[in-house]
Amino acid sequence: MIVRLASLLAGILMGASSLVSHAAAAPPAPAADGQYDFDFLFGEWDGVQHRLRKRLANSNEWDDFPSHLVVRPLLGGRANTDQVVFQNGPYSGGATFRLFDPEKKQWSIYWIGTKTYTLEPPVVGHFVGDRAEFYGDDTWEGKPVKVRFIWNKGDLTHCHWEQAFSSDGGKTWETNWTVEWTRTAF
Amino acid sequence: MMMLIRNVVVLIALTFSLTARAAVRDGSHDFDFWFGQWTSTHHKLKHRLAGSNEWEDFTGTAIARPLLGGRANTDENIFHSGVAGAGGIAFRTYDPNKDLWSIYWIGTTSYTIDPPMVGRFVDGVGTFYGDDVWEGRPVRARFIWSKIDLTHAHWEQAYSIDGGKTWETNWVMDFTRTAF
Repeated sequence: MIVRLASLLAGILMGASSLVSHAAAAPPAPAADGQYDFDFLFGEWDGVQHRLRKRLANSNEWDDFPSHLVVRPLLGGRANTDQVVFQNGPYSGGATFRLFDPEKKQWSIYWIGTKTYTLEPPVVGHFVGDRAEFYGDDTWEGKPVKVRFIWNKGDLTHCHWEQAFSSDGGKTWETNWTVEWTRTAF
Repeated sequence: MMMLIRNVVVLIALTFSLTARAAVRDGSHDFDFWFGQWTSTHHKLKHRLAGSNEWEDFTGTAIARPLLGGRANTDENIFHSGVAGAGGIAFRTYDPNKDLWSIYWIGTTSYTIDPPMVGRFVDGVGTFYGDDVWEGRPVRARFIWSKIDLTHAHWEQAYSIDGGKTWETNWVMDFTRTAF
């Protein structure tokens, strides 16, 4: 009886320890799926665009102008689009396409400006809490640059976006565009 | 006489510049027909590039919306194919300098964005080409949009493994409008 009890106990312990070691061997589970991380942006927003006039030229002259943004989910939110109209003269603005990769838990953000109407290479990243950083490669005036987007979720009716370029592979960054968004509709 | 020659030269130059300008047409409204809501019937080849003639038929829905006044647009497709969550998103942008549409497809099997299909409409028929890979083999892909009226549209996809000499149509969709 005692022997049987001991072997049962040993079995339970071994089972438990194998469970533990199995858990340790598995890759760390991501904190959250991430596919709902842009839900906060669905709706309509007014934004003050604050844009550096000359990039990577040690300039500190900025343009400020209003804009309007409309964001919609696609297929339940794993992708979304927005369109922004800059209210600074002749028609300008752009559209964004965002796509969530469920394997890598990363968002890819594609921008289409009204100057070229082409889909540019994406910036890629994810949210940690209310803040997200996205990185990509681009060219500016013929020179290769690293691009960084930052999204800060803020609250239900406010959020913040900014863009920075780096010409030294990401060591130093120059922020060249920021927008403060205020919700006008859900 | 000199005057006459000069006038002829000006006339010829003017003719050429007008022709050049007309060469890049404005196709930015060529997908306007698509905005709205649709039901679809799908006729899809079961095995591609395998000499097969077995097809499956199912229904679906699509919702298409303009972006930036129509120069870009998106649609959401749901396929009632028996596979949960089957469907995808199309994202289209128009390059006014080249009169070319680029069509990006994101399927719900991979959620990745692939290189686009590129092309334009001529006389009501849109033809778009791109490079793709099918079961490890490089293929040329072709979309055709045709038979378009206010409440109907027809789409089909074909693959070529000989660089576009011969094509095998592997997917046909017929759309009927349910809402604007």
